Amino acid sequence: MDPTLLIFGIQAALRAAQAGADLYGEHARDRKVFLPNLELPTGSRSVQLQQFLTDNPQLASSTPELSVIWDDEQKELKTTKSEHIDAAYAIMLEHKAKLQLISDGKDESDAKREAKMLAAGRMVEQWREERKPPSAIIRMALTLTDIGLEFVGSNPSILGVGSRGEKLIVAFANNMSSLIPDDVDAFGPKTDFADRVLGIFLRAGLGTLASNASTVFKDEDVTKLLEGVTKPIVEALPESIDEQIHYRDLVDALAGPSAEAAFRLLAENTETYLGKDFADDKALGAVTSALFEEVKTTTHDGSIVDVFSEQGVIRLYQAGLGVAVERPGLFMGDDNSAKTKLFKELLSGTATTLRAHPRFKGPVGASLAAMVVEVVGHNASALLRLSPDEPWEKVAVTAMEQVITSLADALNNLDANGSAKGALQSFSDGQLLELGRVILVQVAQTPGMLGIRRSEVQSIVAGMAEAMAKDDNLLLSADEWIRIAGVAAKQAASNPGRLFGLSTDDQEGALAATVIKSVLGVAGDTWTEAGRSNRPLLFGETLEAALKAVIESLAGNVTAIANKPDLVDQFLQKLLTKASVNPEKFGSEGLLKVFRAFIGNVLASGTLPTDQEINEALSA
Amino acid sequence: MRKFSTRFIIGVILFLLAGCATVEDVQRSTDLIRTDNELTRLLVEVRPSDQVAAATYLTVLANDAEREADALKDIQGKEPDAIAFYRIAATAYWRSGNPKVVNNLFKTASNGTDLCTKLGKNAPDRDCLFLRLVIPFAGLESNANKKGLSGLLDSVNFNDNKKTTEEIETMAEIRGSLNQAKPLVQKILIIGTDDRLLSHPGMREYYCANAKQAKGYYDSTAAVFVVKVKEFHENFTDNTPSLGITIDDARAIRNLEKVVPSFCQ
Repeated sequence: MDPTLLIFGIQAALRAAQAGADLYGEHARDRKVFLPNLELPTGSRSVQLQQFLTDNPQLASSTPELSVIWDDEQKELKTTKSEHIDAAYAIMLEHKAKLQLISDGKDESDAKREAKMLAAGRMVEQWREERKPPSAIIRMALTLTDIGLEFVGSNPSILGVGSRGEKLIVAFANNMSSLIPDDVDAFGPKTDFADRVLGIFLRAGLGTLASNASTVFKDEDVTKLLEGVTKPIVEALPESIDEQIHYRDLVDALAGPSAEAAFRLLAENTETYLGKDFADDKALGAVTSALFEEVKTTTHDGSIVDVFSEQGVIRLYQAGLGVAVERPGLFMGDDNSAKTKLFKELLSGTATTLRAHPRFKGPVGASLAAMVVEVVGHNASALLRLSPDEPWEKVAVTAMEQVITSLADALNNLDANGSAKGALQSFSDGQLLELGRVILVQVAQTPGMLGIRRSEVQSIVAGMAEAMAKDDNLLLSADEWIRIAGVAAKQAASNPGRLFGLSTDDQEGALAATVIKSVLGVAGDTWTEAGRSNRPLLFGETLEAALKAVIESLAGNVTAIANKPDLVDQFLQKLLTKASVNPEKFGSEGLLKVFRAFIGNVLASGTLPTDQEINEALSA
Repeated sequence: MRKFSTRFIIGVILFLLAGCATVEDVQRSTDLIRTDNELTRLLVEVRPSDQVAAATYLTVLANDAEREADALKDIQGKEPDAIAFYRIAATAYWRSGNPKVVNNLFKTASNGTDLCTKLGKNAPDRDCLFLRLVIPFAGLESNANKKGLSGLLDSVNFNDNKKTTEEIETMAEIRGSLNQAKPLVQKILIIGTDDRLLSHPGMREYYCANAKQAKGYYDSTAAVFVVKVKEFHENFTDNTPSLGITIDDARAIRNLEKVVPSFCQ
């Protein structure tokens, strides 16, 4: 990674955070505030008349009671004699009452507070007109320019005249008005916030361009991105100040990665589907709104960020966006409205499952959930055809629950030392994730394996976990087990119910589990009795290959093994005995050669090969 | 590589520090909004019906705002926030009507205007204009209410062909009071020459309403004082006892060197 870019990223993040706080501070200082008026005594009748006639000298000439007391030249009363003052005062009150009736057109109850305030002072804004802070739209434009200028230094090539970067900034500028409602006053504190979120998205867009030399974003793609992704983040800003502070913190953490995820997806789709519309902004909006609404929701167990971790939330969001891009219709109702609730329920359902299995809290569980969302979402139309009554999001939550529960059950099946049994103790988080992935990859090709009422996915995971738990001697590494699981899943997909049954209740008796355990039993006995000193053959790569061969053979005729589960055991024992007697003739390669040659027949007929047949196979 | 690591770590530390500073900034802005809202509530809702309680609350609020402002005034870049808190403190001290906090009123207004001078053309318009007005406003109100000029004028009647010593002393007291009020009104009017008012409709409206009120109050009170002086000289030709002021002197007191700006008409 270019160090300048990294430092620049930190500086940019600093600026974005500080800019938001600065703008909020500006709003606090510059909004209209109440300034109280002077409160001076109204004065005696003479003083009031003096002021009234100073302001309305024309009245003095037309009204005898006033003219008798007014000196128009000196602009002062001629006398303070009470008989003249009292008569003039009565006339003044009449005039004032008339003026009041004429000028006051407002409904009394509606204008009560305003009248009170006007009587006591004025609401006054901070700045004079030529120094007023720029409007929301101009501020956004300044932000775009500022960010563009930052990038010029580090990435001059993407910001030349007519370049990809310049086009992106222009596209942002063209579409930023979509973030601002018609009634700007109603936007309130969202004005500053929108500016900040826009900045985050532009940085993400320019960053994507900098790292993808061939990517070009179209104006209409940016429109959809701003409408579908940026706007929901702005609109989800809560009303109250304390909730806003919390939400701003969340956006600080999530908006950048969310923007990057959206742009990465946009870049991938632009490259993959030339000429194809990027996505429906309503579908993107449904996913984004759901995410940013859900992150605000806090239960007694915390928010989804506490369950998935920030990294996990973004991974799930990315998966949701991917489905929205590929199949926008899944997020739309019959009336073409966005189904925000759908992705919210998917997030909350997944969070509930992970809360129940703390071993999978954080990025691992979130990544598994994201894989499920991708697989189920990708195959949603096929699933809906197979089972029209099963909503795809419920299938996803159920599948995820089944995978996690099966793995968690296996991991919770502990030995006397409190460790997971067999090979499962050697699985890292990444390897558990990979195990889930190889099975889900297979499921993606055979969507019929998914379902709410019955799930072969769960059967496969449970069966494989059962088999792994028997590998007490760790004859196979975690990676080797993952490859075997891949083969098992493939065979299971092609042969529904044959290898792992259709129920998870009896995995002990499932064909694949029985055979795998049988092979492991033989391998384990050989290893236990002699260790490496007696040149054992059935472990590691050889054992992996043998297991793959037997699993693949289970797709064929299995009449004999169904009735005599120890057939494979007998066959292997015979081969290993021959190998130990003739070590110079029988290595791991020879063992596998003979095993592969006869396993199909053994499973079908129950007849073990003769010594002659074995010798012939070895020589072939 | 080591150089890069050092730069990266410095960047991360700066980021974390800035994060803390940002939270502090947001909280301070929230405080400013809340304090302003509370000031408005006290002035509009509480004070009209309960001046005694409002005076207590306003003094407490002013103390808080002054503390906030003092804490910010020397921090680079935070001067506008400090000025806003000084504006709130000065308003609350002024409107509390509490004679014990007069010094605080002067101090906050002075600190605020000093910061405005320091910021020069970047000084916030409304807050800085208001901080210039608040002292003459408070002075004029105090003068008008303490002396009760209008009542004093009413107590003098030279049309009854009598001139008592009390009346002549009262006239001297009114003259002294007008002489004190005059420079305060002139200070208010001179602010009308500030160009910022030309293009700030809200502040202009506020200024004009109050400048007219100040000028109207002073002018009409001084004009009635002139009439009383005139009536004295019309009714009494002997100088025993003497009023000690001619009609021209009285008109000179009335005459203000500054006028309400034309944009207020």
